[in-house]
Amino acid sequence: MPYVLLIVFVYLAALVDTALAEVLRVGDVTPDLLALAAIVWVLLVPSRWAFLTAGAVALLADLIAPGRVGVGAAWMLLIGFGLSGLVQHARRRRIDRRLPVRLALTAAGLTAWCLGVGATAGLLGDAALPLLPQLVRSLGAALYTSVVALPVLMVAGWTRTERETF
Amino acid sequence: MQALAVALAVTAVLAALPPSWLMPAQGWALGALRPGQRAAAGMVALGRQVKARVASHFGNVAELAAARDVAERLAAENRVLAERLASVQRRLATTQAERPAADRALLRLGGIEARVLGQQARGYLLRQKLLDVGRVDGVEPGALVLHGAAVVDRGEQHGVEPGHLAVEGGRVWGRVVRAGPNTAVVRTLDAPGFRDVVRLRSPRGAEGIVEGTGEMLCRIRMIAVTEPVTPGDEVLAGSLAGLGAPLPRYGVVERVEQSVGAAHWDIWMRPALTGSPPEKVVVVRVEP
Repeated sequence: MPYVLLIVFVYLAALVDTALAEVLRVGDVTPDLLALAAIVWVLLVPSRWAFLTAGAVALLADLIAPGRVGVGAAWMLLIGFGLSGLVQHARRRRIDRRLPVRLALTAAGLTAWCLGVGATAGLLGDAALPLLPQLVRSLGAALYTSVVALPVLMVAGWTRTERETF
Repeated sequence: MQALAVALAVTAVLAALPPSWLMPAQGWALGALRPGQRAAAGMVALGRQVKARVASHFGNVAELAAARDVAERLAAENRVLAERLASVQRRLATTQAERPAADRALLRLGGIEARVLGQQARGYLLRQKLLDVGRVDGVEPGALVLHGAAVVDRGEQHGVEPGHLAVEGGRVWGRVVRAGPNTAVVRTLDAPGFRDVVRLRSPRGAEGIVEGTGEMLCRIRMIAVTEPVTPGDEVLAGSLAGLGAPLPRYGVVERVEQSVGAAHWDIWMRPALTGSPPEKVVVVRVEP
């Protein structure tokens, strides 16, 4: 069931990223909902292999976006792996379901991923902008996506709480 | 850790591959998204239409409000102007009322519009016994068609009286000689027996008597040879002088003669109004 939801969410996120980017644009910055889906998956699914799924989602994002395929997936694998360790640490301290913690982890993961992908693209010469403006834009995208992540994490938290109550 | 390493290796290989090798996969991914993208584009277009309609609605509301503001402002200005006009009219009426009677004109000129009846109209009125002038004043039907006499469709009931001048466009056409209740007989300027007081050149010019001769030119008498008269001088209706209105013109001096030993000029005048009778005239009368 979680994988079905993931597929639906990833499809919708891909649609938003490709068809509605202009509508959601704020300045030069657009949200990256596929990256958000991958990181939320890592946060919510208590599996040691969740980072692989996140990498697969990032690979899909690489396929439908201009640029070099595999860079985003590689960064997502690394960040997902690191986030998995942090989530397990938070789980041991029983703070992993708190919204601020999840939001902080999401924002950190998104920021790292956006900056990593932006820096790689800048260094490899794939980016349309110089390195510094590219990093600024990546930071803006991370911030925008983190704001979008807030309602997603709230809904996810409520759903999980109700399921545990019943 | 091993899985991470393997996955990173796979991504590194993918990144190193030429872009053309991955194009089929990219095409498959984008093709899978295409239906959803079309639906999303349709929703975006629909949303833009709705937004445009809402904006248009609010635009119209704003224009309507602005137009109402303008209308209210104009109505207020209109009220102010109406009040000012009423105030000025009241002030004018007060001034007129307070004006000394000596400053006000004792008499003024009035006018009665009348149509000159043609032969057909006269014949019809005679057949219907409606031509009251003939009945009252003994004017025979034959007299009505004589040269120098005409009938107008206004009479005593309209204020027309014998002696009133009939004028057309500021030019004297004739004088009312008989007036019935609804019609009046006018003797034209060039008709024998026509006489009136005239002034030369200006309302204060030399005064004389104009007479109809039955010819094209009329004669002006009783102007002393001491008065300067030259052909081309204007001849004005002296009987209407002193009423504060421009005097109707009789005509222009055509010829000036002096008989041996005579004390007065023999002046011949060309009438200002010649040719066929006018359709409408104004019967000038003096009103208090």
